[in-house]
Amino acid sequence: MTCEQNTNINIATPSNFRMVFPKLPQQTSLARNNELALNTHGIILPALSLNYEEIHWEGAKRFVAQNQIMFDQLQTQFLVDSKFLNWTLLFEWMTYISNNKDIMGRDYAKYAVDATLAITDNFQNEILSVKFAGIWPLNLQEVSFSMREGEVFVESGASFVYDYLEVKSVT
Amino acid sequence: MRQYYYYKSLRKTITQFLDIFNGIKIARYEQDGTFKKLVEVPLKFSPKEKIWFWLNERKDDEMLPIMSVSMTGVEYAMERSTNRNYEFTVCPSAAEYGSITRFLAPAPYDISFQLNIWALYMTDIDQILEQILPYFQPHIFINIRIEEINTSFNAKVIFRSASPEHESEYSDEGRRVLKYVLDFSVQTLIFKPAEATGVIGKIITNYYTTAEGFRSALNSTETVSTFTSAASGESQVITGLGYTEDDKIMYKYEIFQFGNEVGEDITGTFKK
Repeated sequence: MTCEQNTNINIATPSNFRMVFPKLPQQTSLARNNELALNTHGIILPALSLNYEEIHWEGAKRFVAQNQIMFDQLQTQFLVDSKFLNWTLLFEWMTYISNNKDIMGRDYAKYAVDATLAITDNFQNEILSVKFAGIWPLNLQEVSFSMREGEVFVESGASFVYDYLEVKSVT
Repeated sequence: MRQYYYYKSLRKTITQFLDIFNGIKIARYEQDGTFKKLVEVPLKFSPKEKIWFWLNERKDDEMLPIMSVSMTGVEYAMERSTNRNYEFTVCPSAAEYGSITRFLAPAPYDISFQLNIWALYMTDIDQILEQILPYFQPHIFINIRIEEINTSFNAKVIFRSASPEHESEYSDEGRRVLKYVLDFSVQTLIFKPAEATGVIGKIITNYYTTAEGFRSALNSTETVSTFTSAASGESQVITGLGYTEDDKIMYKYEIFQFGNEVGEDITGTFKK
């Protein structure tokens, strides 16, 4: 009996991730991506699900996969930087798609990009690369202002849709 | 953690916090209520015990009113935590091209401070408080600059509470000293060591439609930067990345979408 790999007894930590967006369609440089990547403090790796169909045959039943795999939306939470660079970055991306003024819609290929969620081990070595193919923002959450909130910081969030996920191990 | 560095994040936080209360003046009045003079309130960064020594052992000096600041605690601020794995870069200076500094996201910490005000008269304390409290609603910002990494950040100073600590009983030799305690919290950042890194000033990409074309470029001493569109039918795409450094041009090629007919990957580097 050969031993191919020692059993990993370490536990994953939820803070081991980096979300990286490429140059967005409305951008001419990556200048403002830093603020978004730095302040994105929460991401939910979306759930995926399959539908099934129940087949009966001679008194027995079996579940078989039906239709397509379903990917949930990508949800992100981020702290808004003091110059609102990351919030306006996503705002401009969304209004690049449609602004209800002079742009009523664009071709999918013009506004969808591929983004990557890098998952690291406990020593920040990248172990998984999750590619979101054809991603674009579906929702940008509200930003709350208040004179009566002295301690909290401005936060926002965004939801993204995409075509599919690709997960690659990084060795 | 072995690399020595000292960006003075904590020290600058303390000095900037002290600067908020520096130069506070109170007015002294004659018995008929006319203005007499302005007295600047001294500010010390010291624990209570040291002030106690000044008040009780050095009675020959007129010390009061006096303010003392002491740091009472440091806590990690989870609610301000950003992506701690993200490496971001700053330029040491705008004019200095070709070199940037890279460091991980700073760690957010809340530092608690206590400001003690000691005075002989209640009107002194009232004047001091009135010059402090209106500015905090309930926070103000101080700017902390870290020269070593050419960056600065806004630290929020939050006023927590102000409470009197007046003694009601005094010893035979004691004298009345009025005291007010103000609690503050400063939301600061502490940086990990930065590392200098180079700037990618130029990227050269070469495309080849056949493996032979790539091999000839690999073996040649010329720096080819031509682009050929993909031929009809089965095609191969080879991309090359490179950067210039002291007149050397280095390429690293990687083949992808390789055709089945050739069926092999080629990676290599060459210098000119």
